Amino acid sequence: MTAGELDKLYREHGHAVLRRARRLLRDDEDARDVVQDVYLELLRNADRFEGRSGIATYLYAAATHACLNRLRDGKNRRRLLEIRTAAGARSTSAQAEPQTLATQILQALDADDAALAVYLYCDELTHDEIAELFGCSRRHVGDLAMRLRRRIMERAA
Amino acid sequence: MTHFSELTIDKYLAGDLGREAITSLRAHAAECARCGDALEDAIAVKAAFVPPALPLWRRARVLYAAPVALAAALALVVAWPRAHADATRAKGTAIVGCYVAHGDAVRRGALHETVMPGDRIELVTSTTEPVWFAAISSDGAGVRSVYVPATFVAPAHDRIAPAAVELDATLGHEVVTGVFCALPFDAFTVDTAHPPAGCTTDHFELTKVAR
Repeated sequence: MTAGELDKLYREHGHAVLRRARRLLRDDEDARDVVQDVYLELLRNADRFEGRSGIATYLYAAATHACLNRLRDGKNRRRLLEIRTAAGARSTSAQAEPQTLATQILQALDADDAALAVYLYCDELTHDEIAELFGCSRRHVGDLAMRLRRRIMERAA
Repeated sequence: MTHFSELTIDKYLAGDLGREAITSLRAHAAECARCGDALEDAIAVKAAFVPPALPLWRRARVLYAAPVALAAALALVVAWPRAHADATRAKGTAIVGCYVAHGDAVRRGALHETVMPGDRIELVTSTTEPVWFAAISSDGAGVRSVYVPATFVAPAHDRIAPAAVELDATLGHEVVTGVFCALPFDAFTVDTAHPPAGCTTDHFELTKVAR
């Protein structure tokens, strides 16, 4: 991918990455940093895109991973509290404790599981959409979701 | 239809959704406040997205990053009253126009504009509804160039298109046609003389003379 092609993708689709990052990070400055991170990664590793999915799908997944990485770095962990994870989204009382638990759970998950948790419980994506993001079958997403629930339950126990 | 996701909105704005899905999405957005607001928000973010200046590059004659100086000059020119220029345009809901940068000077392009090699043309659109827009040029020899592939644009007056054109040394006449459609389309195959149903066109002409 040339710098020009990257430039074009940036101008045409950068807004979507920015919106996604703002939603997950709740911080405009960090969100703009994520936009840069996503496009620099695309320039370095263009083969990861290769048109296997649409550009919108690719950037959505890339932005999610970039945001989660940023949240994991320790400086921004408090913002995890604002993500509506499984425990946080479904709890209407005693918010602080479930949210702290959600933070611990999300931090303990590996990158793919954390992304899956966000897709399922924060974005409320369908299994079809998640399958497209992961580049796998819908059935496999079902298996991953079951495994994720088990891991969350184990962590929460 | 259940609520649509942010991913679906991204696909819609990127032109990755099929015709049936677009129709379904629009119908749902019109009835569902949550999804209608989400879509409006996404369109607003897209409209307000101003990428910082990146290194200039060229492909054919199209520059996908307008020079900073040109952009700055345009910001001043766009703010000027344009009643006279607008009065020369046909009435319509979707119009394509341009600004011409010649050296350090920037002027609004007329319907029949005289330009020179090396001038830079910045395309702008004025639309009253969200549409898909493409700009296609046809020169005197019949050579066709896509200056702007089909791109989603939000309603605005004089929205700067995501491409600027640096004119090469070939002299002659050129017609730049803007195609505006409710649904995504292929700018490389669309017939500008007979656009698909649901599309409108507008154009301006350039006559390139020697310096």
